[in-house]
Amino acid sequence: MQQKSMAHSTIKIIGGFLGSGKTTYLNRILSQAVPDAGIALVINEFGSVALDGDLIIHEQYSMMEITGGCLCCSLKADLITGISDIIKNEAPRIIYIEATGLAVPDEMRKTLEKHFSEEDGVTVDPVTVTVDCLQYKKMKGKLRIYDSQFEGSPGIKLTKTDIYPEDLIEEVNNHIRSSHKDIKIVRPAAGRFLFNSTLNNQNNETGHKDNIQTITLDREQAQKVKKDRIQAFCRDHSDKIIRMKGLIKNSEIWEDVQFDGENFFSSELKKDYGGECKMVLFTSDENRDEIAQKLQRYF
Amino acid sequence: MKEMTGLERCQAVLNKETPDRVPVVPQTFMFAAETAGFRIGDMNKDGRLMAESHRISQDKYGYDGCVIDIDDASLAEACGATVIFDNPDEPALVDEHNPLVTDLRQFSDMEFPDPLKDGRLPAWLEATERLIADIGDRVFVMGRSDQGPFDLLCLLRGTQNLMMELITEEPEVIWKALDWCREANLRFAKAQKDAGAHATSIGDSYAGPNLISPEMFREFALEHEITLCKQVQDYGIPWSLHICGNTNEIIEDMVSTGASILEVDWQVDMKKASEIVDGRAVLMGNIDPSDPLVYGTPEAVDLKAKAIIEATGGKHLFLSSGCAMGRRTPEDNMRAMINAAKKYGTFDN
Repeated sequence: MQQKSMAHSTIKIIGGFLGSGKTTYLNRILSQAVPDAGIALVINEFGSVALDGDLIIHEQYSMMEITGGCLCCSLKADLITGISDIIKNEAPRIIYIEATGLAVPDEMRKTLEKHFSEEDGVTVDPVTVTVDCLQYKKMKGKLRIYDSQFEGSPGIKLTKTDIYPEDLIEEVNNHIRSSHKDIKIVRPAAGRFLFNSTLNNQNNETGHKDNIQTITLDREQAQKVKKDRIQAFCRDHSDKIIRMKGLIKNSEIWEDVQFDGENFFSSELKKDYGGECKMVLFTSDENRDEIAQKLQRYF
Repeated sequence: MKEMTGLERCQAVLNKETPDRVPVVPQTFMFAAETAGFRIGDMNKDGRLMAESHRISQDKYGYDGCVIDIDDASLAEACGATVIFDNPDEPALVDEHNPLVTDLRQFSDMEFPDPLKDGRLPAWLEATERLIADIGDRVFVMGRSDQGPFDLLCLLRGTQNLMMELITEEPEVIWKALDWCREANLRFAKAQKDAGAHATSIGDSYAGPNLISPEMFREFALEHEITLCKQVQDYGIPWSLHICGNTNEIIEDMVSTGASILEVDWQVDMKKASEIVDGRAVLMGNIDPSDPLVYGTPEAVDLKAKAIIEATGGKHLFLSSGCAMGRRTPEDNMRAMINAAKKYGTFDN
């Protein structure tokens, strides 16, 4: 590949199964980055509303979303083309790729290594994979695509460690250490983007219900959401709402709103987001219908 | 041997006869749209434009078969799923954050989609009818029936949810939900036959080893594919099974479905696959749609196509891309694939 610029770019892939905390981890990295760090983001979401892409802290980063296409083929072409364009047009210092949870991150790394080289001024770093301890216990060795996340001995980041019991974390830590040397435990900032510990009160001994349900507002509903009212709604049903995240527009101001089961957060987007209002709530199986009905009345 | 038409060539292979040469049946819906100057978003609800894109592309390049497809979301949409059409340059997606079913038991109360009325299925069928009327006398037309039972269930329940439930839910509940999805697909497959398609196919790629193990594939997906295949082929139309990704571990299982055609992706070892299949089905594939088809040179495409023909002896083969061709595939690379069949895939009888 021929690059116009001789600036050096490093590609860092963040993998991990669906719901393992990739976006949280990426946001944590971005929140610690200095201004004008020369960062570009590639968000590869599969078969879903690109809500997580919207929730990335992206005031000062260029961001490209790759959605659609077949998991194994046309998506690959889109990824290579997209990254080529970013390097050519922006020459970023670091390109973070948040891989879809249904991809094999190491396959993505191999594909990129084949197309981008040191001679072109591009380094493809080893993959980092986020791991939710509870998910690991449930799925490791049982689901092929879950196990595939660990191909190529990636660096591992344990996520959501502030909500799980220490013995669970230690058990998973030790299990992964037996096959991966460079494990690091990430303890994300409390609150934001995390499932709250209220789950521990109402569910099984490991902290989660088996099935967490989502309620997604349609565009029309999301446009009607007022921050104060949704905050009150979440507070009034905090025993049933595990998590809420959304992008809303009130008085011409876009806001990222979140509820983690206990605390409500909101932050104003510095740039005009320019997309559509979106909101999704997470509940347990048993509470989904009740919350969905109450939301209907809310609108 | 007298030069055959594309249709004759494909039908000869399906009938286990020797064609004049290896037929080329690329998976072109995105490439054809680009060739015709259409955007996916402008044609994904319009059967006339879908057909026109294939007609223009086939006319320009002269390949032997067209595969009618427009995205992976159409059958799910007809079942009631919410679909996102936010990028006019890319296929539509199912909104899996807001799945149609929140409990697999809900299927027992759900109505099956009507392919003649619901969602965009009528547009797919119109595309088949138009293409058959325009070029169906000389070109092989495969009218897909979109997603197979396992893929459809992933889309209706949400892939993440279903992956969890494969481990936590009672197998019988999953089995019944898959059976509903099989029936939904069957109705569309039959409608494709009624619209005149020469063959029909499903994509069941989420059931492949890239996502679930062969054991899980056999436990949940295989029996439904076998039943669907029999029902469709008993209705009088060859059935094709598309599972992209690395399916080396389940080639024998794929043959056991009874499918007339197995669509295999670029990671499949065609020599071994050909030995396993041993003429029981046509292998369709398997040039990597990204590299070399988008990023490689015509020479690289030629080499890969030659290798496929040599690995299979050119027998029981539709030369094709491993999966859907990218819309940015260079014209010369498409021509290289077709020319390779003419250079290396002729039979002197």
